[in-house]
Amino acid sequence: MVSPEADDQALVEATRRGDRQAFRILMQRYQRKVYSIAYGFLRNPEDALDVVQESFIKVHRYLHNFEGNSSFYTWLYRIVSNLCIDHIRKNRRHRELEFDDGLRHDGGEEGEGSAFVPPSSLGDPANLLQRREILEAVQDGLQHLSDKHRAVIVMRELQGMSYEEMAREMGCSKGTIMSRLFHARRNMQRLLTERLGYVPTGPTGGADEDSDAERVPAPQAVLP
Amino acid sequence: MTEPTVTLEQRLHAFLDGELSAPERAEIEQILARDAQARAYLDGLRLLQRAVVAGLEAEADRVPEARFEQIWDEIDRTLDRDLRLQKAPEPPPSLWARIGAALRPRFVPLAAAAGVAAVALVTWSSLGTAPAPTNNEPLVASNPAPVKPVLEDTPIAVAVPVEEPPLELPAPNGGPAQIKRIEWSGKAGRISEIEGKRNTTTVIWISDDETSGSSERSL
Repeated sequence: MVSPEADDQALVEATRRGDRQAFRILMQRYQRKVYSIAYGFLRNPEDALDVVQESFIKVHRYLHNFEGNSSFYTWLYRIVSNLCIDHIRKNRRHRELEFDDGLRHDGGEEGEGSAFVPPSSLGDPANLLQRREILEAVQDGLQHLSDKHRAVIVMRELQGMSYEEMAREMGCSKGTIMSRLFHARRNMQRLLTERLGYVPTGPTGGADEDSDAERVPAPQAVLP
Repeated sequence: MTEPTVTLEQRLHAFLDGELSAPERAEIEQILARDAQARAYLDGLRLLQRAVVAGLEAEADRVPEARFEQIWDEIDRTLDRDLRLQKAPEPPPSLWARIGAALRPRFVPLAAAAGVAAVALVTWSSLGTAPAPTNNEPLVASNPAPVKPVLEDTPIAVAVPVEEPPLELPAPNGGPAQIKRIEWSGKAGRISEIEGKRNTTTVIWISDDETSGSSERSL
């Protein structure tokens, strides 16, 4: 019997040996994160829950393909994003998002040197969670982004995917991802500004007096 | 073709995402050290990141645990079905499948042999019905009943029901029957005299083999 505190790899090994309870612990550990990714892509609670279910079934069925070269959650999140992309492609309401199947890495593992950054490392969101209006503004802002912009934001901010990985996933160049992410964030900031009545907090003029750096456009920090 | 210009703003995004090389990163760090506006911009990006993550995680927290329990139950059932499918033995082959499997190795040569035999039989049959050489005895009756050609006046090969010609029996060879003995009721005797007809009945006299007496019988 595997302990609920066991690490992912131990739970994966136990699941491979047929320990259903170990797999349940894995699911309980990641189900809400998987849901948040799916919801970020799909913006529909029931569709997101369907993806949660499909994702874990697929994980169990293909667990023998997981070699452990990358973290389990990276592999899991990749499966989730692929299912979301499939869901969007099947849904006529989301024709805007186009992916190249030939560049998909369904169930595969990323190579070494992944630039994955766990979302939790981005900072303690406790203070943000206390401000309901900000959270609602974020959710509303995501709702108004295009599918492509929402996809790059979710893949980058929640899944921690590198530009290269996102480019493979979406079937475009790394430069396109860089540009798309830049515009997605800018649109998101604009939407939040409109919603929250943003007042610029940074300097609107040039850089520091002793700076000869490039001139930076108006600051985008939207949250006080 | 020139490379598209990458603004400092875009480089700050790449810096935030860990996508810059070491020299590029060092350059941005120098800029950040002296440019408050750049620092504020970067802080805004970091705050946006945290807000997006927190917003989506808050959305996930709204889902009641019972809903995930339902999903687990469904997953559990699905995995059980998968397991049963993996363990399910192959259904026994049907009788016909077993016969087919047993005959399959021999079926082709047998079929070929049967085909050759059928062709040979048809060929032999067609040769057998051909006209015999003139110096041989005919294979059919020397005086067959004349056969009227069927559909002689009807060149179109249509399946029309044809009335069968009446069966022609051989003609009797004639002459009275010479009946000398007769058996009746387990007895036998010699016809000693034919008296003749009495109305519609023919009366004969029989000498019984056992009693040597004569008795009258009628036909």
